[in-house]
Amino acid sequence: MTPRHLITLILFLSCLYTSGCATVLTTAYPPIHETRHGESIQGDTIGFSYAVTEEKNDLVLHKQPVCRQNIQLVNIKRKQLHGVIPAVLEMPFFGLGLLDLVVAGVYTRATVDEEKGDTIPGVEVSICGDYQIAPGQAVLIQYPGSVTFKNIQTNDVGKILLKDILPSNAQDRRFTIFVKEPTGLSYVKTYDKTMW
Amino acid sequence: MKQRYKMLVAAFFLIVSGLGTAPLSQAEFVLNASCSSQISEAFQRELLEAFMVENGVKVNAHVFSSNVCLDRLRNGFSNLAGSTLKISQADREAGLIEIPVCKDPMAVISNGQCHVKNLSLKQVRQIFSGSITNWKEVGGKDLPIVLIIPSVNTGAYKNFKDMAMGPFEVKDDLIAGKTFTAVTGVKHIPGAVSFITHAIANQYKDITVINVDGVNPLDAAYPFHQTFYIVVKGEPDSMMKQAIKYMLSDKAKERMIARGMVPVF
Repeated sequence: MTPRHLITLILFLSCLYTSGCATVLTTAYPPIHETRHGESIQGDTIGFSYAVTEEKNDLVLHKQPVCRQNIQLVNIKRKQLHGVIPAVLEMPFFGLGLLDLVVAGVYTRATVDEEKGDTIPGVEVSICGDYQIAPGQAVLIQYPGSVTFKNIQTNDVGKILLKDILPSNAQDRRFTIFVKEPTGLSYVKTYDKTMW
Repeated sequence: MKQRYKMLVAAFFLIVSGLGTAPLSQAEFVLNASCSSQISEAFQRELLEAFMVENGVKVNAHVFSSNVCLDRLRNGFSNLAGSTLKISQADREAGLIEIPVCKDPMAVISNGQCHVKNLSLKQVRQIFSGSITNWKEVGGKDLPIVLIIPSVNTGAYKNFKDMAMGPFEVKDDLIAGKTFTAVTGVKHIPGAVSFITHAIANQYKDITVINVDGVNPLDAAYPFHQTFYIVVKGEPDSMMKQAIKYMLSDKAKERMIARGMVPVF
């Protein structure tokens, strides 16, 4: 072995021996704890969604239960990448820093530990049941262009009779339907047309 | 060597960027609302913030005159408008839906130095049409009247003109781009007079709210009332229905009543 080869070998072994900073630092640091949002889970019923359909010359009020979507929290424990700067400094030495970063990165991914946490109420609400008619439901009819309104109730088959809300010779069907709920009014639909 | 070095650096950045965990993106419910400045100032973001907290929906609220708010709704820049203007028949045919929420008196307000607490309807018309130009003509201080008028684009201007002025035109000395800035002008300019929804006027102790024909704005017999509307385009989606439901809820009504407004429903 020539002196030149020996020096190269010593240099190479030194680099190899001193590289691995990113990997060592990553494994030495304690894991970090994070929380992320997981899947949505259907929560309790929070109310109803209302819709109207037309039946002959009358309207039928239907309702569907609505549930809030809860969110499953996921607690994550993982190692975070450290030692990037030393790894960069190692780069000129046969690209060893690159290998170091790859190993450290693989290690961070391999040590991810996920655990289900609490559920929290989400923003989304969704339909969580079948349509059903809404008999005996208190309804408020508001007439567009005015602040007058009429309080009526759906009959025992959920119908809103047009004769109760419009004059018999009315050509225009112009009204907005609200359902009266315990906490206030819920908008259902606006009719604004001259004929069905 | 230089090429190899560049490749090493590029590879480094590629790897490092891939090693970090990308943050999970959350779909966010955002409601874009354009609100009349009268409505915005009358409620002082109270209803808005309560709605955001209780429903977890983010609301981007933009404040403009009622006309501009309706324009933005028509053109799709917002999905809900708060307006003190009734929508036109053309708007109705284009699918805009207007829901009245509450009524509030339109108060005539003056600078504290004017010393006038009551005006007849005739005097209100004469002042705002420019026939009366000094407060002493209506029993007040010898002070020129300065008319600060909300811009013609505002619901306040249109509603006041329709309700109070009859056949007379509204003159102006100064124009307020947004309605509530008229209050600032009235507060600081001696002799100034304007008009604004009472819920805003009530927030300022150093301006005078003038009775009309001896009737206080909070009296049911007061002649000038504006209606605040929610306006949407087309059938509201579930998020907008939540917003409408909140505005018509008992909690919202309590807040309106506390500010002297009268819920419609």
